[in-house]
Amino acid sequence: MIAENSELELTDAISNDDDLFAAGMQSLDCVRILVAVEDEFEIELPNDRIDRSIFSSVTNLTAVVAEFTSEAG
Amino acid sequence: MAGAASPFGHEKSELIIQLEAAADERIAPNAKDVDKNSRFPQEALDVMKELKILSSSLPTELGGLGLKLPQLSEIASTLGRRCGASAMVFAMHESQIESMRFGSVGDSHVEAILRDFAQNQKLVASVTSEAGIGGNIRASQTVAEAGGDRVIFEKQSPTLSYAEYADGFLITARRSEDASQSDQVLVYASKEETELEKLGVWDMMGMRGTCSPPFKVSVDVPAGNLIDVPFGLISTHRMVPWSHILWASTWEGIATSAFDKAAHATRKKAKKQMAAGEPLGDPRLSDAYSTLQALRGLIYEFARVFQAQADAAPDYKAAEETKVLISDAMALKLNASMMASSVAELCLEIIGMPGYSEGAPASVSREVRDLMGARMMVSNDRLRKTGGELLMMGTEV
Repeated sequence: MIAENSELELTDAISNDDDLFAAGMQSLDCVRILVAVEDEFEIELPNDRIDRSIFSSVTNLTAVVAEFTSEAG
Repeated sequence: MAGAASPFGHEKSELIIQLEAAADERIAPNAKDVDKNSRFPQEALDVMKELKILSSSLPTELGGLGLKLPQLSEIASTLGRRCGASAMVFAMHESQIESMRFGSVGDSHVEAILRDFAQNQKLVASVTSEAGIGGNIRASQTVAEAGGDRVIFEKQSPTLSYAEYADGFLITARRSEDASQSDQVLVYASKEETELEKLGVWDMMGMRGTCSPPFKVSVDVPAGNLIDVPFGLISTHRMVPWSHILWASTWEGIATSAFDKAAHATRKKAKKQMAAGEPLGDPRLSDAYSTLQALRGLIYEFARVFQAQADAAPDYKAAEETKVLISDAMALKLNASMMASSVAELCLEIIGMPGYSEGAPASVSREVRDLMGARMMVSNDRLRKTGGELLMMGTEV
């Protein structure tokens, strides 16, 4: 999903913990990823939970999605 | 969020972090009921007492938190984002406390009362408006003349906010029978020294939780409760600038609530935009945010300026020689009242029908209605008229 909704080239060289911003992620990529993630997992992140850190790595994003899908379920 | 920046750009204090947590849990969930039933936000008062926010401006020597105006402004904003009425109660109370302190430095009788405020987290209401005078707080009909060791008088107030929940009242009155309407003094009366007769109802478009119907107030207090310093001085140096900053901060908080809802609603719409391959978002969000940020800048700058003036004149004794620009406070109020409501109205347009509904989570009805009150409390027309006269002399008088 990150690859589909951003300009990032996600190669095997990028691990789950790597800094996606260092790999070229931009703010507008975050918006598209957020919209796609909320749609796909049917979750809604409150505004005050959204900051740069949740998009900074695959691991961070997965953790937030897991937190909100378990709350929703 | 620990360590996060406040809307005013600096790192949040521990107090603000605690207030946010308590306000999310106990104030925000009741805001709708407070508004719908026009009831007093008791939950917010409980939170403020627990965090000792009711004495936030009092100096530490008197038992207060000793906070400065930019920090008070942030408290009002934080509350306003959850419940406008709760924030307005804080704003009005804080202006009273600081006015009372400013006008009574060195007066051991009044300082004992202020210590009691801090120790017991007392809530003070303002009895400035008067029936027959209108909203001009710089004029009184009622006379509060000390006869012997007591001051006894009655005053009719067309709007007395949270009167039935206050622990005490700060009342303006004429100095004597032969004094002019603008030769005023302040009198403090505890609720035990006050009799309230309710003369009407408070069923308004917004700010419904401030519970501000008309009352007849009858007081019988020791002569020492009369603060002899000219109220005009207290009003110019504290009550007016403090009120306008804290009201504006309250409105900024309410406007931020509307913006949060608009951003959230826009993101929900973006899912469809994304599916249709359309550009995401709503350009109007940028306009709403621009105005909100301009408002924040205005508030923060005025808070800084007014605090600098307050530091130069920490009490009435130093005030005579200190310059305060009353037209600046009026300019802040005019700008803030219009900017905050324009943000909320634009957010309503962005959200569309769910924003207009009373029941939907995205409803901004309360925000829009509360912010309409911003033009009413000390009416913008009155301020324009006064400003229009004063400004003929330039901005330095």
